Amino acid sequence: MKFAYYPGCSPQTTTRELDFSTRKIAKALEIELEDMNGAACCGSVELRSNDPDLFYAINGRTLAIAESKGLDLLTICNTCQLTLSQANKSLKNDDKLRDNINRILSEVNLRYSGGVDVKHLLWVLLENVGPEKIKKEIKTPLTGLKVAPFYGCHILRPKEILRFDDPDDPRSLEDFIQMCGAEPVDYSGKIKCCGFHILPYNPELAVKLTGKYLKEAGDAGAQCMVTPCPLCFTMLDGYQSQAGKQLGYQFNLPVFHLPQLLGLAMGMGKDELMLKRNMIAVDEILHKIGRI
Amino acid sequence: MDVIYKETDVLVIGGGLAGMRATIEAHDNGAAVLLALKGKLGKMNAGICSYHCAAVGPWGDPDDTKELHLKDVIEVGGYLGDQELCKIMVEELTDRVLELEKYGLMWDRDSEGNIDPYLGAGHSKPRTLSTYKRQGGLDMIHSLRSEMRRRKIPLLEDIMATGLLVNGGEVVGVVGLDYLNGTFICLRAKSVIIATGSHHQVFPVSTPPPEGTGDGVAMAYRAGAELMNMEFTLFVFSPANPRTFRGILIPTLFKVGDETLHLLNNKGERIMERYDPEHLEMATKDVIARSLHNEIREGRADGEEGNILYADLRHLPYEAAKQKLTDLVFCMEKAGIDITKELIPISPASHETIGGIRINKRCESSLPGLYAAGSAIGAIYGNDGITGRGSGHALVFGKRAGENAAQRAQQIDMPSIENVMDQVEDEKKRVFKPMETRSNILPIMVLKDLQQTLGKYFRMEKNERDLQKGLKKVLRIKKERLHDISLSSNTKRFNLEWRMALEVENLVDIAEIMFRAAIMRKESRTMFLRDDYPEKDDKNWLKHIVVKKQNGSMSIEALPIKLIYIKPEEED
Amino acid sequence: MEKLSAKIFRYDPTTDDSHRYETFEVPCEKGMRVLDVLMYIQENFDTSLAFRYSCRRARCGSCAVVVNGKPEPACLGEAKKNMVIEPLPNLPIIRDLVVRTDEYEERIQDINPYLVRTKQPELKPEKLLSSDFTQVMPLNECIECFSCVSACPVNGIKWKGFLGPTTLVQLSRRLLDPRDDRDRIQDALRTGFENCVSCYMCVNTCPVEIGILDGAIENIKKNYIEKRQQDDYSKYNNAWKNIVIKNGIVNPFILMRRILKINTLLKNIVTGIKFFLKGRISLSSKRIPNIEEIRKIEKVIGEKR
Repeated sequence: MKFAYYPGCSPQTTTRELDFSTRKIAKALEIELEDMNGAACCGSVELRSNDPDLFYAINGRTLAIAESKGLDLLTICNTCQLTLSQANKSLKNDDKLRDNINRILSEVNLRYSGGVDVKHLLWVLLENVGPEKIKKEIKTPLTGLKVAPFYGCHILRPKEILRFDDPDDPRSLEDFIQMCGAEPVDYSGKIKCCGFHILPYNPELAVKLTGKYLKEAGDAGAQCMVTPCPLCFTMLDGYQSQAGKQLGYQFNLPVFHLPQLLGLAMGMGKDELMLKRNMIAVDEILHKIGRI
Repeated sequence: MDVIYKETDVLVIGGGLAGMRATIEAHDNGAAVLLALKGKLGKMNAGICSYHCAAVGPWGDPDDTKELHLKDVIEVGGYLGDQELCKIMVEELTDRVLELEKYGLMWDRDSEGNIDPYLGAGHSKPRTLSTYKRQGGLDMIHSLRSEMRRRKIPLLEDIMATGLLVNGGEVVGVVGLDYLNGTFICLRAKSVIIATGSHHQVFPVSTPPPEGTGDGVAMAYRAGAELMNMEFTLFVFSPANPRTFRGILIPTLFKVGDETLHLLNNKGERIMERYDPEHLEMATKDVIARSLHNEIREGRADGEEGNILYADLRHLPYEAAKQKLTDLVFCMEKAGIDITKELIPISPASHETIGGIRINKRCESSLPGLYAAGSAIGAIYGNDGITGRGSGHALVFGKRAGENAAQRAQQIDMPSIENVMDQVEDEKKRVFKPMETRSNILPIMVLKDLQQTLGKYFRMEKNERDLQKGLKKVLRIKKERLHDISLSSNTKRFNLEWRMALEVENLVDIAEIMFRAAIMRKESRTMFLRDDYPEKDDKNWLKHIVVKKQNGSMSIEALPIKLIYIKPEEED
Repeated sequence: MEKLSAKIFRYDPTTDDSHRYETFEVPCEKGMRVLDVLMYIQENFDTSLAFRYSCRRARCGSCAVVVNGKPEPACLGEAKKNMVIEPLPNLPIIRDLVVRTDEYEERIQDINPYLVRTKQPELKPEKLLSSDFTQVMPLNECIECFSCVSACPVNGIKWKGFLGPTTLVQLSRRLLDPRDDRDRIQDALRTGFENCVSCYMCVNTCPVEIGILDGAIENIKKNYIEKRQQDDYSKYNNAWKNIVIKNGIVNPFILMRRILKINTLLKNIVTGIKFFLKGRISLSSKRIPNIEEIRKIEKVIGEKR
């Protein structure tokens, strides 16, 4: 299978290990990632509220590029998934909007007719590739490892746009964890918000939210966490020590990107998954699963 | 037991459409106003569930006139309306509906930006106004509430008014229970406006909210005010289950595209084709109720009790149905019914009651100092189901009550309550009695008993035998159980059971009056049906039945209706 | 007959030291709502159970409770086989499932929740076009049930100054009403709207399906940025937009550098250094190929305006 690969801004700057490990597991699972060569930032929630016209035009362009290659779009970031899905839904259903956007896109020789689907890596793994095929590639299952799922808001809500999982009682990330041979940990914060989108403007609030759910995961017995979103990852991993300081608590909860956890289960090593870049050291976990 | 004392110029009891409109008007006329209500503002009233209001104005058919509107109202009401009050209502409704736009509401518009009315049931011209998704009631309540917020009017929430204080024949205040804290409250005022809504809770299944226990009507009666036409009530149909959704109305008059929803019997036949092929589902509430009840009588209904009929929405365009029949579609889908494929089972329910406090054109009751507005007032339209009935009399008479109550407050001094302290003491004892009684009679048991009695003997089709039986049962409840009600918990904090004990007392009084009035009226007219007197009797019964407490007992008499503007002969 | 099990939160502050849960078995019926369960329990097991309800069709907004962790009106919530029913969080409890909502009502009062027009129109019908009201009409369906604010995580950690989604919807109703001419940005300033984390919990919870985030909050943000270009919040949003146009990719470091004040940068210096050591901070402005296309698009849009 082949997809137009849309990594988003974070995996190209701050979270390059996500892009790297995605490419690694995609190759092993025979998912071809076609470079989009010039797809721009999805605009995130900032552009959407600030300049909706530009928001639809830029995302329309991204979708048009994928359509010109005859491919669906693969995302590895929750917010990219949401914003592109939202733009896609509006462009598919609102003829007037689509005509307006296509008029603008014609200036750069592009056109979108609504033929693309936007899929997150998690969904592609569970649906397109399927557990059967993936299980064949699991060489070193993460037996006994207690992993807390952190979904991240924009892969679950709003339901009308995202549709894959039940936002109140999702199972997809738990299924993924089990597919890797590990044990999912249940806690109420798994569907809550890490606060990333307020980080540039109000870091104190973001860190407070992150800390709350880190604590819940730890209290529920988690040894590590996994998240399908690099923005949530940045908060949970990058700001973990700040969160701990704020709460007066010593956290030590290593966080994995989706393909990093899968890669480990498939037998890949620390370097192949760029695990050195994770802020919270993962060595203890690697030791627990017998990799070092 | 501490008593909390407060005083104000104008005291309004009841925070629905009428109560809020009265409060706003009294405030704007310079009076110090206090609004006491049995719940939270904007969240405890029948108004939110209403759909629309009807008024003649610079919209619709240019040939429409207020005279035509008056004629419609009086005719559909079976000529039982108070014609003077109806004329005032029809006159003033135009301003009242336009005012709501100043308060933030927006009536539906056509493509040119003009107010776009539709034809309501019983109206001869399109003059019914509604708002986005037909939730006119919700928008009316919200706009009135935002005006209350603008004026920062002081509220007394979670208060149940239980009795009127009367000094020398004039009402000087109200006492009641703050049931959130369990304290007794005594409110002194120059004018009191009762806007407590209807008393439909006497029936086992009713569509308006459960606070409708006729508190204001019962208080007024006990204080000696006149009540009117207590034999009248509206009967409708609502979804058969679940119980929570029994409060939803079946909006038969809304056209979705070219069609309304259809009402079917158990053979799948369209019921209204048999009874009113001209209007079909757009007939007035009483015609529809009679038709459906007849189907039940003749055995063409389903269910254990043989009273389930069906609402059919399958033929309607789905998206448009969601917009026009909002409540019904929204809630039925939650209940798991696919309206494009399945029928909605419906069964009989009671709607608002029509009887209440008798008022004159200044909204004065027969007791000086006591005003009334909204569904708490008695049958000014007659016994009917014309579209826009409820919101119409709430807005017009709410405003007039507020205005007149404020005027009175300007003209008199604050009344003294020294002479009525014995009334305060007696009421306090009555209110606290359930808290002190030890028995195994709980309020819910008495309520269910009463409701079953009315469900069985005060049905849409009445007869002497049933009415007498029902009356006897109500009297027995009154004598044997009412004064021995006790509570399962003696907490003073938000004790709803305590509130129910006091509500049941009101309902029993009201039920007795309803039976007596129904026994007296020996005819059938619009929604009041008697199997033993199936014909309309204009000669003897173009009368209002007025009930009053005199010298400790109930006096009941029939007073001729003044046919000032419209007489029945003119119709034919 | 099938039964379902309901665990209900009970608490009387006047007599109990702390709350407890009581479990009841209730016969199951087709289409049963949570409110049906509560009414059944109140009528058959414990007449002292306290809860609010009125309209029974999600119009009055008085019956909101938390069912299995999710706030919703009891009249709409589907009765499930195993339920835990609790009062709305973060509010003082009156008794059992009844809470004091004064705080939320005061927040709404604070933003002047009524139509403000400097020139009062006469009592004549105005020509109004429905097309001018398409954004505000769906917001009018808000029943102030407070489910959204109960689910909001920022409200949940009692972040000072954030008034919550209900208040923002009520503000937006007037901001988007073409007849209102008050400077609603003045009211927005008091709401802390910029602290909305865009998590969509409110949207997910709203029983009458109001687009709280996209329809209300983002409109406030948009209006704010248009009218207050020089404020920090607007600068942050515009910086994001400008980097997209300039580079196509948003490098967080570049963004932070543009918008953060010196003292905030210094406060986060330790984290910054840690990130840098792990190679997470790229100092260069990475740019996409074909960036001219983005700039052309922006130019075309600008010309259309």
